[in-house]
Amino acid sequence: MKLGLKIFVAVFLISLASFSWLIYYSTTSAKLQAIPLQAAKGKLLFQKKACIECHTVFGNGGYSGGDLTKVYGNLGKAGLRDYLTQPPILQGAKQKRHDQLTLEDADDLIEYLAFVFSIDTNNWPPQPIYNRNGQAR
Amino acid sequence: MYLSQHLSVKYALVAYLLFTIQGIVAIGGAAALLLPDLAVPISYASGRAFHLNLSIYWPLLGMIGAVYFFFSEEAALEFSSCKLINVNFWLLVGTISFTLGTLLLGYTEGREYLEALWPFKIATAISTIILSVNLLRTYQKTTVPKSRATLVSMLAGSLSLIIFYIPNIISYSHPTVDEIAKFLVVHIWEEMSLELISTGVLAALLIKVTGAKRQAIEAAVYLDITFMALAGIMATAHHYYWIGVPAFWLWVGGLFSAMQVIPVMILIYTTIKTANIKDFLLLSNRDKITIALIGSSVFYHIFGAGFLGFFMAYPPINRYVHGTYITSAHAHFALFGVFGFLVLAVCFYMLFNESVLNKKHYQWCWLAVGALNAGLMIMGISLLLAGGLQCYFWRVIGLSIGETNQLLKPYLLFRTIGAIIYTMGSLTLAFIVFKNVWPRLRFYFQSNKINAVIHYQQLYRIQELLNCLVKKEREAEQLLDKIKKIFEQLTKRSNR
Repeated sequence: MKLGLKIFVAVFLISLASFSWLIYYSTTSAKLQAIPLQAAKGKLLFQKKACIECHTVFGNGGYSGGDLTKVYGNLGKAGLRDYLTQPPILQGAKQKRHDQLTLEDADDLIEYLAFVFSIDTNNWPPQPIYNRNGQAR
Repeated sequence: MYLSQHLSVKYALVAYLLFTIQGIVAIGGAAALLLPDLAVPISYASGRAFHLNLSIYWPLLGMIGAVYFFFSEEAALEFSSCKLINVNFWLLVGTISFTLGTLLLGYTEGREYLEALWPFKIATAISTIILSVNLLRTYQKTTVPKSRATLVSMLAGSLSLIIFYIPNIISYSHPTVDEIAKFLVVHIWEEMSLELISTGVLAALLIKVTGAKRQAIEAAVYLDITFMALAGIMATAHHYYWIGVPAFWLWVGGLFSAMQVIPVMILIYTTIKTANIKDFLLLSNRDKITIALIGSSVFYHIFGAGFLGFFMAYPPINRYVHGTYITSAHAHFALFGVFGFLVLAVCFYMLFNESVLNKKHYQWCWLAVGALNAGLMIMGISLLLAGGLQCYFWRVIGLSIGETNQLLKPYLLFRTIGAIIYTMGSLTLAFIVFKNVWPRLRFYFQSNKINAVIHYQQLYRIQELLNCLVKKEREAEQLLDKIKKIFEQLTKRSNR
């Protein structure tokens, strides 16, 4: 089985090398814009508040709170600010509200969501096929 | 039996303990989703982080124990440092306890699956380094052929754990880079590193339990791990589809994810070829339960991880199912279904290698295995249905996530029922294990000597003979009783 071992090690190293190269290529490609300072601050807040446990970004995270990748495009700056500073009662709950943020924190977070919105995600998430009245878009 | 093997049993013990906690926490989380107003002392976010980290750490702990156990056996050698096995154990168990404790208190790094604070991540990295160093030094010393497939796959798996963990000790300011790094652990650990280790462990176990021929298994193991090394690493691309990287990742992911089915096919082929009911019935009770747990793992490997994963990784399907409860269903099948069951099997084998399980408890073990399977099935299928409907309501009709969640509630209720059945199974199994291990608990943590000097098969043989003797004695008693009665009747008659 000496041959088997050689083939295994060779395949392992080749796939590790090509994978690393693909990642290097992607992270240095022009598609990756640098993140603005305020947005980076918002990202840290997003992590500190553990938003990812209920929400998804790029579809990864908790499945109960909905995806935030393109939420900036749907609600806009003013809508998001209202939602975050005066959170409504969650749907299906009687008292429980969304976490409340201060105005500055909300602005940082909105900058982060705006940055995420600007990322080209290969047209994900898909737009719903029908609108509210049941007509095809 | 080597001292290294004796020292690794405590890994199995703590793995069982952590596994028991998992179900209880999960029921809490499932209930919190159904009843958002429920007053719980731990926030949903902390609970979920706890659940996710535990789901990585307990199979990891059990698997590392299994590596120490089977590597020493396969290399026919004591580990180069037995002390390091103990050091590694306490470091890892300490790290796990602190990580889980701080997560419950709400200290989080806020990256899904990698929520632990950085000092604990460094400690985890050191644990895997200790494992690798000890393995490498033992591998150098061994006199068996260096190309033995079981040794190679355990070694390669353990070494690769550390390669992919290091980039994740820090987090990155760019969300896309963060995601790229995250899946080096979330994907590659599960679908390559642990997979390599478990292939080695499983092969070693099957050689011991079913007496499979090493020559026959060797070729299959090499074929398997070569495809895992290729497809396991490259198929990480199926997590990169929508995170803001160039579109060529869709091709890479689609192609190599399809290739991931090949090891599954090899697994199916080997299972069909080696599975033999007749041989199964001849096994000792303990080995039957071990094999039943392995069988469950193989089942979920084929259907939950293999085929479901295959369809989900196809980019046009993934576009719709990504980020829904379908992913969650897949994660449960692939993480607990494949690794959970396998680690339970291996740990069960390790725990009852030095001591004998009480005979009355075997039936409870069977019930527990049944409940775990039924619970996981109910959970997985209701999550699949919930995910399918979520896709439809959310991605096709365009309802809001709030409205969608209201419509999904019945399925999440079924999921909770599944979780309860599962937890009853896990509690039963853990109870049986701890009840049997309890009298000798001290020896696992203190003694530097092996508990049982005789081989486990002899141990089980003696138990069988004893049972036989007791049975014979009962028969003899009955016979004596009968003779006594006849004698009494005779004496009565003669008295008349």
